Amino acid sequence: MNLFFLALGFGVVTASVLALASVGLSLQFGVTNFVNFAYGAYLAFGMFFTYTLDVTAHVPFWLAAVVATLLTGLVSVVVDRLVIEPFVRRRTSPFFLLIVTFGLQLVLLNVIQAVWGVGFESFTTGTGTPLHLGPFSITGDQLGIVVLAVVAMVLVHLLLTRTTLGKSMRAMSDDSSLAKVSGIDTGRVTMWTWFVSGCLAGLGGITLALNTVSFQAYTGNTFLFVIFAAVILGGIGQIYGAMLGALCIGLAVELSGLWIPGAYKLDVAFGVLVLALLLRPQGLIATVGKA
Amino acid sequence: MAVAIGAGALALARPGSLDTLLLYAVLAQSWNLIGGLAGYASFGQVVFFGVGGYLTALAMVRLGLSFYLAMPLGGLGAALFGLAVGDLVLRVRGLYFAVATLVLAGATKAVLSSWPGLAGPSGVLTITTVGLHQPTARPGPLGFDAVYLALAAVSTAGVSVLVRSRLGDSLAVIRDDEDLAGALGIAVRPAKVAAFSLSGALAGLAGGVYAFQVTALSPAVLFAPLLSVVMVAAVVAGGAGVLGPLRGAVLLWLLSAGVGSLAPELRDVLVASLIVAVVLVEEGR
Repeated sequence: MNLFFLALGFGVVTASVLALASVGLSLQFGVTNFVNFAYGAYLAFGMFFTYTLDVTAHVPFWLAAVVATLLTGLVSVVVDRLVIEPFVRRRTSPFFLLIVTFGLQLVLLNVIQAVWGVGFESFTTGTGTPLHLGPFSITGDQLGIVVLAVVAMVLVHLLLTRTTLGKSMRAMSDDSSLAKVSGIDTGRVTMWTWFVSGCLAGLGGITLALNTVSFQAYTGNTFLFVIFAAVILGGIGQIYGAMLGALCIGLAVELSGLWIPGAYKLDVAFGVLVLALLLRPQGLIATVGKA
Repeated sequence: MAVAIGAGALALARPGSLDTLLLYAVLAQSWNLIGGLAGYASFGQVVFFGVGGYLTALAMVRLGLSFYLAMPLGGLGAALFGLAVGDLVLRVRGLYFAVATLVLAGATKAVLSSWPGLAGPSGVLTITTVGLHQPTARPGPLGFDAVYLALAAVSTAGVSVLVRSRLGDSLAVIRDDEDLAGALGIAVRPAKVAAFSLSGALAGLAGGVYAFQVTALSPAVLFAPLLSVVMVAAVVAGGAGVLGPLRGAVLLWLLSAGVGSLAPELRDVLVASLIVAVVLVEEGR
């Protein structure tokens, strides 16, 4: 029973990391209607901006993380403006945009390696001693990840339901042309969407790095398939679906560690995805036609 | 662009640089089978390259088989892998297929990265090439060129036979309108799975040769993102059909050899940027 609660605790932590990253990816897809295959590199930006501020510039870790999150959002906007928007303006098909972001992933990861090197790094926070909360046993860092994810999810919910910007995002997600003729400044909403998506990717990267302790340029990219599993499970473009998908995948991955060797646990994410594709393929195909 | 192509042409003179071109050609034909002919754009095609490469290396290292036996076994293994997973991932189309294949490659790479028995503690599986225990004498650069050339020729011949076959006709209808294909009584699922499995065989064979060429293998080497991107981009740039993928492979190779000789340390960044640029040009036409 102790092992079960231990795994459950880790599951909630993994789900939290996943939720941050998945909601960012799904939000951007919902509004712009194409998938960003370069998303793994945005996680790396979050990690390495934090690393530079925390380790090199000796800024307090929490402040480094906040600044890094905002910087990643900025990178996301700049990359969109410089690389992706020109394609969108030419009415490039979602399929070609997929290839553009697939190539972009390589460009961004190489830029990250050129700036920060290819080695493994870690933050100054250290692993810390485990805290015992009832039957659970997690480190302070991990508790922080869970709290951060919950706060971020509540903020995303408030953004989408209480603000004009969030309502505009939802309107564009439902029908972009209708949103435009209704007087919504779609260019501005798109820009803010990339910013929020980038911030969430940054947070996902920072929390992922905290959870895995050491990281390098490809850490986020390697985790990308788990993020996609969560996003697809929840229905791509569905924000609350992504949260639910993250919770399912996170718990499934960590709880599976009770029965199968831990080395394979991430592959449970693929298993869950395949199961979802088999059980309700029609529901999953519905949003987008043939590329 | 002209400078890059000029520098690429210069690289032609360097012996042993043809291997990359021929590797790109095989990979492009592999992607062509599923992405071009069947219309299912796979973004995880590198998984077959990795599976074929690892199987070839394991057959040589663990079983002591000759490379010339191990490589076809690697290709066969990759084809069977395609058969096994194809039925699952080919149930979804378009964007969902793209993401499902990406997830498949990521998950397979994760398994191979953490498989305790696969490589030593270093995580690197090495094919012995010196001493008494080497299964096959390692061919020189020209030897590898010859193997890749044979593979490229077989791939292209195979694709040209396939497009004229009944399966090729079925795939063409599936690509244009899958629901129509079903209504016409075409066995849609077997045709798609066959194309996926054959494309897996080609990439798997290429992975086998590549494994013997680099000898020190890790998931990072055999699942290199650059190869993934090149496969998709070669067909997008050169077009589908029989010769289109070869055109795309030549174009990408000239560009990468060109920028590689101008600025080796920036090669991947520049190649990736060029791929984005090529897509832009293709879309503009």
